[in-house]
Amino acid sequence: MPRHPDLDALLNNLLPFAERMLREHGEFYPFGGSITPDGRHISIGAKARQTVRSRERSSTP
Amino acid sequence: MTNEFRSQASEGKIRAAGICFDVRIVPPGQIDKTDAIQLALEREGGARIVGVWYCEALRDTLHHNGGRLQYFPDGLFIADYRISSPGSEQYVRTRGRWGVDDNVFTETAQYVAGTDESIPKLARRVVAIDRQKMVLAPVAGDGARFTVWRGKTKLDHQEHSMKATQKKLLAELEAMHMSGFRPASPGPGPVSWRLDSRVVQAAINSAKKK
Repeated sequence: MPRHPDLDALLNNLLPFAERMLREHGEFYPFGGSITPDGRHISIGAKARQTVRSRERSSTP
Repeated sequence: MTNEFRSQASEGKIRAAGICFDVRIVPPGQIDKTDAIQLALEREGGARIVGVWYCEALRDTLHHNGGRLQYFPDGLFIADYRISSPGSEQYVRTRGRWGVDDNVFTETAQYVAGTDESIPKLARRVVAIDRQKMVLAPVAGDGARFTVWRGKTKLDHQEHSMKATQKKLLAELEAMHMSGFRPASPGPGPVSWRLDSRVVQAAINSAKKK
């Protein structure tokens, strides 16, 4: 399990979406997320060699 | 996506990243494959190390080491060293794998050219890192603490061979005032070799402060 709060936060952001996609569609394209130095979370989806920035939001709960 | 995240991390734009993949695995004790989620997480420590770094050490009063360390995003490293003493110089190139786990940086040489000496596995804790320098300290009290400086040179993706790159390396080290023992200009006194390096400058600065 991740030992750093940043990695915990990424895990909590990414995993539920992946579980939902598997449950509803049985598969999903790779996707990812990152955290900026000021704590903002950014999600990215990859499809057919294209990387698409899908959403951006603050990490503040 | 991996390259984009690592590029952003090396520029200080992000501090952590993760990628989710849809994979098929056979669970333990079963025969049939099933869907699974693979998650790769990485924090800034590793990605920020990617790039070209320089280091030097005065091994003793007559041996100076100057080095250029290239850490590639795929975990490969190429390290070039110039080991000089009055009247001689030697170039050593090592190639191997590097990684960071829980803030401990490791470097394992797989190939060595230019010397018969073996290179032991290096393990150091990253105690400080920014755009200019990185400070590596011993993990358990053994070994030396040292500082490396980030260079302006770009990673040389083309040159992974074990050929030495003496001229290029020396030029880069000299640009950073790390030329080591070099013939001195003719002048008064018996000294014909000089040590032109940050080590000497740091010693002078330290002496001035005292």
